[in-house]
Formats: sequence, C-alpha cells, structure tokens
Amino acid sequence: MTKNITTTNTSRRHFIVGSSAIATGLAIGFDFSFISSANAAMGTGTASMAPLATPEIGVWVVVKPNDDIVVRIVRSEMGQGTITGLAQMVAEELQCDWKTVTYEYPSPAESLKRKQAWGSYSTGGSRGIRTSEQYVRKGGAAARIMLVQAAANQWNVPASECVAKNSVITHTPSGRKTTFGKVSVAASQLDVPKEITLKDPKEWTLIGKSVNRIDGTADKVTGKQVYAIDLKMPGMLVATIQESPVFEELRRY
Amino acid sequence: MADLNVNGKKYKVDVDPETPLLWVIRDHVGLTGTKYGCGVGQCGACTVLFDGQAIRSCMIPVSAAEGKKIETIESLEKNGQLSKVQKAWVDNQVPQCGYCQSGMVMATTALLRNTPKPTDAQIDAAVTNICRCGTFQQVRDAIHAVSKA
Repeated sequence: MTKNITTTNTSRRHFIVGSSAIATGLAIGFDFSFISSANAAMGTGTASMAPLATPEIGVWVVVKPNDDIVVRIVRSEMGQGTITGLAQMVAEELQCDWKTVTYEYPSPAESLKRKQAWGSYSTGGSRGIRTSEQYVRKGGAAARIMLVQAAANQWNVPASECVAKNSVITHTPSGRKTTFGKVSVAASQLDVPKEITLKDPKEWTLIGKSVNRIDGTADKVTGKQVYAIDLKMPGMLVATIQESPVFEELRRY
Repeated sequence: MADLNVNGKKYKVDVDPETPLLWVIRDHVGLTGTKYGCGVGQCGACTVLFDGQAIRSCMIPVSAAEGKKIETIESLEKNGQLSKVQKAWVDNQVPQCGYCQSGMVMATTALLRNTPKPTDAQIDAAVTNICRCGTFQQVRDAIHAVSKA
C-alpha cells in the first residue's frame, strides 16, 4: 500500500506550528457548526450541533412547554454511563419524570461565552461524577425551586405550600396542580436561588438506581455511533507514522 | 480494481488488491460501523459476514472478497427495525462504550443463523471477540434472550 502514500512537503516544524494554530482557533470559538464532533463524543451521533434548547431554568435544566426535560451535560461519555449518572443526579433534585429526560451538550464556545457556567469539561480518572455531583444536584434543585416559585406566583400563594413531584407541582392546601412545562417560561425569568438545600441521600429515589442509558444505545449496535476514527471533516487530511518496514535493532541515528 | 458485493449493493473500488477488506469497507465503500481494533485478527471489532460466516475483515485482502456476499453491521436494521440481535442488545443494555459491539453483533448474528439455541460453550467458541469494557456477561445474556424469544 506504500504506493498510495502521497509525499508532501510539510516539514515537521510546519506541521506542529500549523496544528497549534488550529488548536488556538478552537479555543477562541472556532465555528464548529458543520461537524458533529461534540455529539460524536457524547454519543448521539447526530449530524449537527444544534443551538441550546430553551427555556432554560438556570444553566443546567431546560423544561420545554410539553414537559420534556433536557439536562445539560458537559462531561464526555466514554462508556461508563457518566451522562446517564449525571442526568439522574439533576433529575433527582428537580423532582421530574425521569422518562421525559434527555440531555444536550453545551459547546465549549458556549461555555466561554457564559464565563464557564458549567465548570470543568474535563473527563477522566473516574472523576466525571465525583467532582461535579454537588453542583449538578444544586442545578437540579435550583430549577425545581424556580418552577415551584413560578407556580406559586400564578396562584398567589406561598411557595412553601407547594410541592413538586414527577414534573407536577401541587398546591397542597387547595389541591391545585400544574406541570413544569406550563410554568417553565415564567420560571426562566426568575433569579436563580443562592441558598439551596439538597435532599438527604436517604430520600433519593433515582440516584443509585440502575436505569437504562440515555446516550443512544441503539446507535452503538447499528454502526451509526460516530467515534473519533469515523469523524470526517471537509478537506480533512490524515497524518500517520510511516514505520520502517524492517524490524531491526536501532544502531544509530 | 475490485468488484464487491456489500449488503446487497455492488461496488467497484480502485485499490491495491492486498488492501485489507476492513479499510475498503470503511474508506472506499464508506461504511464506518465496522471498526478497526487490533489489526491482527485478534479482537474481532472488524467482524463482518462473508457468505454468512463471521470473519475478521482486517485480515482479508480485498482480492479474496470478490464474488463473496459481504454483510456489515449496517445491513441488519431493516426499514427502521432493529434485528432480533440488535434489539436484545438494547434491551439488555449490553454496550458501554460500544466500540466493539458491531463485531459482537455480527459474530452473534452468524452464530444464531446456524445455531439458534447455543449453549454457553458454543457462545464462547463462536463469539471470541474482545471487549475492553468487559461486557461479556451481558453479551451472553443477550444471546440467550434472543434464543428464548
């Protein structure tokens, strides 16, 4: 296959300088809209990076008017179920219906625009969940507090008289009910609360439970999942090491 | 130049006859569901069917694939319906990272066509693919689930 290799005039130095220019380009918000890199890394295999969903209730949760929940995830999925685990943590505090939960991946450019609102994107060393569980749970709890407040405002009752469960908000004294979706736009206008009390782990009903993954298992059994090796970009060239065909001890340079 | 029959479609590819079938499928035919793993026929990530037999496409020169009926992972889903094996894989939540699973599914598909109710020993003998996530038990459970359905 040697004859297929085209030799070009790119010196090693030229290659490295060129590569770092590309890397810098990414860091200042290179337009990634034409490829699926992030989605590929995250497991959806979809073709483009859509703008973030709305309306968002704080930075971690989106509640659509039809009650669908979108949880923002910024850690990569490498098979351990990190996406699903993090979504469970947010959903636990949000008190939403787990069956309606999907996720989306805010691009690194979006993160920079928002002063790194989602914290670290780094994923490795079994730290994807461990180092973000506190703040993602708080993100879920904050969204719940905002949704409940929005419902209480509509009913003109104290929020303390309302409870949220399975994406439904109930005013306990009167029995009035509404859903997350119905108050989501109003909730999105409220300030994100600062004082947040998380659930006692004894009250958890979703965290720690083995649930089906939300990161696209079907794509992994149909060949549709895009891995790094499958990624194609316009005009992409492939650089590879040309190894010596002779297997021998190195005598000298 | 090689004439190939991949998933029922004919392809004419202009490659060195020694090129491994895997790279012709991925780079020339353009089907990337078949994965490159070890490149030496050990791991099975590149498993495709060759006249119904599971083979490791990284070890087959494209010249040997002419006139054969080649099936890849992309052929199993029909009209948006997963095959029985694929469905069992989803129901049993087999994949973790999923990189090896195209090969696992193809090896299992070949096994079940000839042996619809394999024993554990028959599974071990036929599905020798390697999974670094360690999904072997889930693979076995899913195969038994297909047999029972």
